[in-house]
Amino acid sequence: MMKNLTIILTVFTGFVLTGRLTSQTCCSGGVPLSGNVGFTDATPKAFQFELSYDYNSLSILKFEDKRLNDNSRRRLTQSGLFKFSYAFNNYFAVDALFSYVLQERRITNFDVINTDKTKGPGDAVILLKYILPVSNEKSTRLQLGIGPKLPLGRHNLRNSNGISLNADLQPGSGSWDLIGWANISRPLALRPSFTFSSSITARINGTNNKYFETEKYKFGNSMQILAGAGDRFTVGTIMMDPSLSFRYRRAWEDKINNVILDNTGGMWLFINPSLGISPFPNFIFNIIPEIPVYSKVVGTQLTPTFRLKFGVYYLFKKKEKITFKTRRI
Amino acid sequence: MKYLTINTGIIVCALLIQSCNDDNGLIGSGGTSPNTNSGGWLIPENEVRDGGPGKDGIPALTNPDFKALSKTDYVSDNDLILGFKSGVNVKAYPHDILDWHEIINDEIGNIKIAVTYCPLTGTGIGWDREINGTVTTFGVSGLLYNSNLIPYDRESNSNWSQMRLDCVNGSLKGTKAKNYTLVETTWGTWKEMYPESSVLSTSTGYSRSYGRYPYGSYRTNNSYIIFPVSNTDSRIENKERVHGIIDDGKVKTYRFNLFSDSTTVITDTFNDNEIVVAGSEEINIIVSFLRKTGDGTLLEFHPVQNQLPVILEDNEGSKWDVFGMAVEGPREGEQLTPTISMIGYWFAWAAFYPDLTIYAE
Repeated sequence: MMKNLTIILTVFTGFVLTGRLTSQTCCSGGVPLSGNVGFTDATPKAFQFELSYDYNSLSILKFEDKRLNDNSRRRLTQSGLFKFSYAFNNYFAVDALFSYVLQERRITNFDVINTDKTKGPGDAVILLKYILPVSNEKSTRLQLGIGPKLPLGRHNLRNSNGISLNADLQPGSGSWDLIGWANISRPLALRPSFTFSSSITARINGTNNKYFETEKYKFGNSMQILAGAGDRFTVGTIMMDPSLSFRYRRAWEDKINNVILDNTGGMWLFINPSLGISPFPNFIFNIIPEIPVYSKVVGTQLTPTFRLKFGVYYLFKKKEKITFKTRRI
Repeated sequence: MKYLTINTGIIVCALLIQSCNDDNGLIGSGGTSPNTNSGGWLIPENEVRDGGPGKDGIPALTNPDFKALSKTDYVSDNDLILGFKSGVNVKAYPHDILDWHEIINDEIGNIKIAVTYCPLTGTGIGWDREINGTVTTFGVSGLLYNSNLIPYDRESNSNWSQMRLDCVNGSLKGTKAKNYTLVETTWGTWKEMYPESSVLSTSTGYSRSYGRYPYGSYRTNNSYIIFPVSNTDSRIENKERVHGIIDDGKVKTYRFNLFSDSTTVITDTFNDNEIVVAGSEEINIIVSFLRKTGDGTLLEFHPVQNQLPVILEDNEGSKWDVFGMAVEGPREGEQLTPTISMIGYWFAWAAFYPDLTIYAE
């Protein structure tokens, strides 16, 4: 019973929150790394895998919180994310996240379209997690994590004519960063399948000391909070996991050569309705759109217009038969 | 179940690795009007930078609306403007708009001019839009060299260097720009000089925060240079605005503190040219002209106080305005030949012209 519940919680919360903390590494585009770290549960001696695709379009030009009437620019970041986790025991787990990135900048002005595209492996994140003991399955669950962001991605790409591209179009940031993460969740006493959960992710960014070969570039530190709730029900033999959450993100300004770079940083609020479909145990297909609700940027910036993430999640535990206990509601 | 799992995984993997057959990390730059051309550059390619907004991401204006000065209320007295005068037509282009658009393709009388302004180097100069008999418009390429604007002309898609004053990439590579010298001063001074002038309107067709400087402390923070430059020179603070005269690849600069008390005139020789430089730090203006007139006369000048736009009087009794036009005296109607010059941040002059000299050094 306990094992089943653990697995259910693992899968459930793994779906509900995984990928919700989708963020961007900079203000006008970037790779959703820090927001995707941290599976929200861990099953001892079990592996969790997630393979997902993240589409992030930015085409709204804003001055502070005012939308400007200009639809000429679009920044598009498409990321392939591979994440896995292994829990050593009830208390400690390690997560790893790797990315592959396609960046696109498109300008449509004067009846002409100009595009710049780059691609390549992006940066990666390793997160060491500590899971606080729980007295029973109805208790509040708390996890804490910390880890580095490794600058594996290219950060010095040039275009085909040798022109150095700016930081925003690079697959990697070129810096070592530190990520702190915490997740708390609690099932509703009267309905254990209904869970409230919240996560916070803080990212302290290092400096790329070889930006344009000689300059120092630092993406602004960021912090994001996600809070929401999700439930589970079954349709026939298929388990459905709808949820709704809000994400608040605050990014501080970037710096170049230790001087604050204007038109970077800001705050954003998003709403994330989502749906997970689990046709059989340990496997979930999930889809998570993200809709901007409010934003206030520093200066004038492109700001997120629409985001969609979908992917598959799989839990693998060796030599143990894992079954779901479905419950009619 | 396993089949479905594997299948789904394969589909997602396929999505992730699409277009992964090129390992240099670049899929492409271009579209219908790429921002670079084959055939190389006259400047070091590895020092040409992508500025961030992309080609036409900063939209140049073409034939924009103007308003009477008396109806212009978005410019403050201390804001800088670029002014141009052709016959009776006088126009002002405030930095408040140039900061956001950088290039204004305009037509004044028979002159088809592109007013180019780079906020990162603080340099503004006019270019003739008629090149080799073809009228073109200029756009913002999104590229920078030594932190300075690289305009492109839409007829040939060639890239030009604003501070080098020539085409550096594309089919027109090597072509020199035909320049129109602009007068840069404050709005307060301009209003006093040319109250009848037309002023660029904020009705540009674009939604921007005109009047709000988009680069924060950039104008005054000497440590704040966003893009690397090829040469630095510590003789003057990076962001001090100086008047630079360009002649045959050489530059001589004149600092505002030379003109500190009142309107002051400097007679100088630069690159075998006899020149006169007039200015006033108080009213924020420096202009320069060749002293030799069309008939070969070498004029002597002294300053004129408190008669703006008149700033010079010559030894023959003619008075000249800030655009070098004789407005009174025996040479009334004549035009002094302006130097090829503009005001810009010191660091930019030093980056482009490492051998530059400073007057009175």
